[in-house]
Amino acid sequence: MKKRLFAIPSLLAAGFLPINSQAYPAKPTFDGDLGKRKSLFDIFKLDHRYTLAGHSSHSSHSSHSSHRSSTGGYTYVPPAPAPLYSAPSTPAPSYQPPAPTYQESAPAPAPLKVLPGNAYKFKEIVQEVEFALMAFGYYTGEIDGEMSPELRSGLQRMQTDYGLKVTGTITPETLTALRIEAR
Amino acid sequence: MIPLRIKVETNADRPYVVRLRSLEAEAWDSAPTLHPSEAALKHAGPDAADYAGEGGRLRVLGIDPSKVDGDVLLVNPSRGTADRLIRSSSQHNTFLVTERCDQVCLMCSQPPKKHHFDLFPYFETAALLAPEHATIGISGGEPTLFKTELFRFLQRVLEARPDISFHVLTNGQHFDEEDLNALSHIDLGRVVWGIPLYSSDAGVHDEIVGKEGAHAQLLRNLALMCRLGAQIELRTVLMRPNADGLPGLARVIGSTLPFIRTWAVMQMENIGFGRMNWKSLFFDSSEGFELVGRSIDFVRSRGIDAWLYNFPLCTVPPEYRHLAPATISDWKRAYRVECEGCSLKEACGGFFEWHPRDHGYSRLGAVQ
Amino acid sequence: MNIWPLRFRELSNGSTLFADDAGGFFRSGQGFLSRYATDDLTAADVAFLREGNHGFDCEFDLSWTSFAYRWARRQSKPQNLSYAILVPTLRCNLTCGYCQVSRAPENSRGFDWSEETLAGVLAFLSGLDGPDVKIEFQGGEPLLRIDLLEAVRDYCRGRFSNTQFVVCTNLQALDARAWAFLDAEDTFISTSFDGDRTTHERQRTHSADATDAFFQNLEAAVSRYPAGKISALPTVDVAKPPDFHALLDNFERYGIRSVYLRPINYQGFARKLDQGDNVLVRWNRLHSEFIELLIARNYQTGQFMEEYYFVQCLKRVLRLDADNHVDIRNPNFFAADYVVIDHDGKFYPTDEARMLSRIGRVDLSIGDVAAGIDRAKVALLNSGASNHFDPDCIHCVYQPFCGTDVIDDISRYGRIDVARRDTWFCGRQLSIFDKVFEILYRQDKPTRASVAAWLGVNSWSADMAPVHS
Repeated sequence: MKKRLFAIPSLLAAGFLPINSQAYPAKPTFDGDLGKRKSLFDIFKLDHRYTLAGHSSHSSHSSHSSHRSSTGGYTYVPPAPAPLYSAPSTPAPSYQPPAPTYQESAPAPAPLKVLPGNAYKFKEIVQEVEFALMAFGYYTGEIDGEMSPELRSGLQRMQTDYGLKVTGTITPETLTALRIEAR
Repeated sequence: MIPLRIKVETNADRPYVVRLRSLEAEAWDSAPTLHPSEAALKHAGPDAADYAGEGGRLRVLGIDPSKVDGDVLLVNPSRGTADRLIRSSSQHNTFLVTERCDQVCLMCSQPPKKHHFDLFPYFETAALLAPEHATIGISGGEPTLFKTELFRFLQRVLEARPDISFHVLTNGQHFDEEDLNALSHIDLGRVVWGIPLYSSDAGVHDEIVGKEGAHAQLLRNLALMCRLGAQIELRTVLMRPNADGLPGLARVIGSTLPFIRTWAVMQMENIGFGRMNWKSLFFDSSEGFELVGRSIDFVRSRGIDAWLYNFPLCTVPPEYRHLAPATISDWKRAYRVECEGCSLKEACGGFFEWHPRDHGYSRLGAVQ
Repeated sequence: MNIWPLRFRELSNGSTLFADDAGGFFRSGQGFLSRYATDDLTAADVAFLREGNHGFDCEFDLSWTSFAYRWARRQSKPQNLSYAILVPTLRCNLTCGYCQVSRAPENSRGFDWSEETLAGVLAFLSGLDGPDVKIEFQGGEPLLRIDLLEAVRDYCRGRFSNTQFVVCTNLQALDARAWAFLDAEDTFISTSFDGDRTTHERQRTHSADATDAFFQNLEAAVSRYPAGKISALPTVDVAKPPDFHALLDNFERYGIRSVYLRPINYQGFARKLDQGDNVLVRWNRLHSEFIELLIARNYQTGQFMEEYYFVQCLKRVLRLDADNHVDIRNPNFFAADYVVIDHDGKFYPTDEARMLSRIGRVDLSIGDVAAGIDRAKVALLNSGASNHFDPDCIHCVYQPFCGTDVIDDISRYGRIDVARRDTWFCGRQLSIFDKVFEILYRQDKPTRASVAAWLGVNSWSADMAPVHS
């Protein structure tokens, strides 16, 4: 690339002082506070990623936008209320003094994944079970996708009659017998 | 109302924590291996269900297994009961750490008691069994009366489970410089501290919480929390003694407490002392909303979040309803005859189950 | 109580505005000023200052701590580099009189990224931290090289979990491939629309046919895409401003409620335009009139529109976190969160810096995609990025809300160390902040309605801005 000439030959000529810009107090601290040399920005956690009741939002802006760009227009849509958590403070368990013993830690349990839609899928299967049991004469209740005492006893009778393991639960072999596919 | 305590029979001789797994309606090959703290459903009848796991056998009575699938129970064998410490389908799980408290708030929904049993070991086991991304409430009494145990509990659970977070209700009276070390080991990005402040006037605040000097102590500790970068949800229950001071409190939040994460203006709960003192305390915000609206507008104009908790939507002017999320926990929420046919019911938290029939709101009723 | 230093400025109505270093402000009068200056405060003065948190009793108490918090929160913190403005070509199919980029003719050669430059850009992007990235395509007319746009977008989608693209286009010529590119949900359109047909044709399109083409494409885009997909800004010649009523009607009709009123930039070809004397004074007057028009119109229609930059300044006064606009923040570190890559692969700290270099004024390039960002030069530029130590700014009541613009200073004066009060930037900011405080304290209903809407709250009353009598 060939060398170009500029009207202002250098930044120095434009008045920039070659000081170490580290001198800028971007890291003011509470001197000696907390026994660590943290800046105010570190201390106040200005870039926390806040999480509340499954709702995650960034405390500061998520991205800046120059005036040229369009990150969503200017409409006065009120922000969607975050699902806020309000802790209850009523009838709570009370106990006889149990002997608190630390159970020697077992391997850390896998967190239970609650997938959105799981409850819905379960409900759908229950509906199919209700429908099938009704067709075979083991159930006369609502097709509502809810497990009920009546449905439990219907399952038990059906499992007995068909020689399945009697559990009163929707087992894989029950589904197979009723020709319902798990999903 | 959703039951928080259920009947059980077990052959264990001391209390223990267990997570129930139904494993119903699953395909053949999807059966997971159970954790030692889990019990799997073996048999379900109309009245009872039997579970088995490493901890022994457990019979659950009077509730269908599908309602408690994934729940974490604290089983109390001698009483034949189990407390649903964590309901897997709920956003409103709370551990009650103690019933002791050093304040006696005029509207306390759960008046303090003297006795205390340390359940932290159980809570720790239960929290580790919580569903993914759960937020767990910590409540009392005053949890920080047992702050050594509390901080250790938070640190251990947050370290073991990077996906979950906590919401701790505390009166903020018991933090001090000596706690800085313990607190610095807690991932404060995942803990929200719900701290009540009722007024910018020390006299009014101290009168409400029944403790002289509480206001001054609280302000000192809020400074400490700010220096720690703690996330604070400032909670102000709206009542007659502090309603007039709300705009003044809003100004102080803007100038002196800008570091809070949220300001929650809350309606009263008619239970405990709140029921006893209802007549002298309840502030009809359906009539005097202007005061409330102006205060949250002021705070929001300063870029600080402000919300209305426990306000039935019909008592709030339409332009403020998006600031009133359904905050009444699922298990204590109820709707009234007036709610029938209301178009906002889905989005509304309704009323506390125990809200009196003579509700006190002069404007209330189904919104079409 | 120890009182933090207060700066002050007389407002147009004769009252005095006070502010501390952390941006806590209030209005009062000469009486308070002389009591403050002579250290003769009354008990009422002290109580007022306490409520506004303008002082403290001892270090680490709540007042002291929250003052430190407010100060820290107002500083713009360097963020991860996550935003690139890319100039894949300098060529353009329009010849706007004010063209800021010294564009190249549509059919010329040597003004596009080469294969090596494209590879260098992608290699540079691959080194960003992620997981989010925002890419803005500038020109020239970037859609003339849609193949390069596609290559960049495909790459980014594979590399980052969250992507956003903005195409800054004149909307003159859109073929099926261009529409297909714009259709994507992660892709947004930014265009220039100078307010009304006459002005737009005079300043940009120069022929009825070209003007028709622009409006047809704009209308097609508006009907095709959801609200928020398209933004537009008008460039205003202070000597011949557009009809502001028509401008607002038109923008509203196209679903664009935020208008960034941009004066013709001093760079590029625009330097040669004669805008007459006293441009600054006339611009400030024009801008102020525009705000008044907005207030009246908003009240009348109940449909709120805003002037983007003004509202940004308004928010900077009231809030601690309004530093999401690169034109006004403090300090304004260069090449911190965003960077420009020119048609020849050179890095620039801002688009204006690119133009200044292009016209041979001063070399503000900071490296290129082959060699990387020249951090030593960036550090030198950053020595002027803050207003904290400027001998004029330190006395200014608006300093906590304001910023710096060294690029504009070089552009106009050839240096950055001129008296601040003599600069265009300062003159404009003083006028805007004067206006901001004027409307914050105004009692009339139309003003209060607009202020509330601009701040995103339901109500605003003059008592929400503190006054000490």
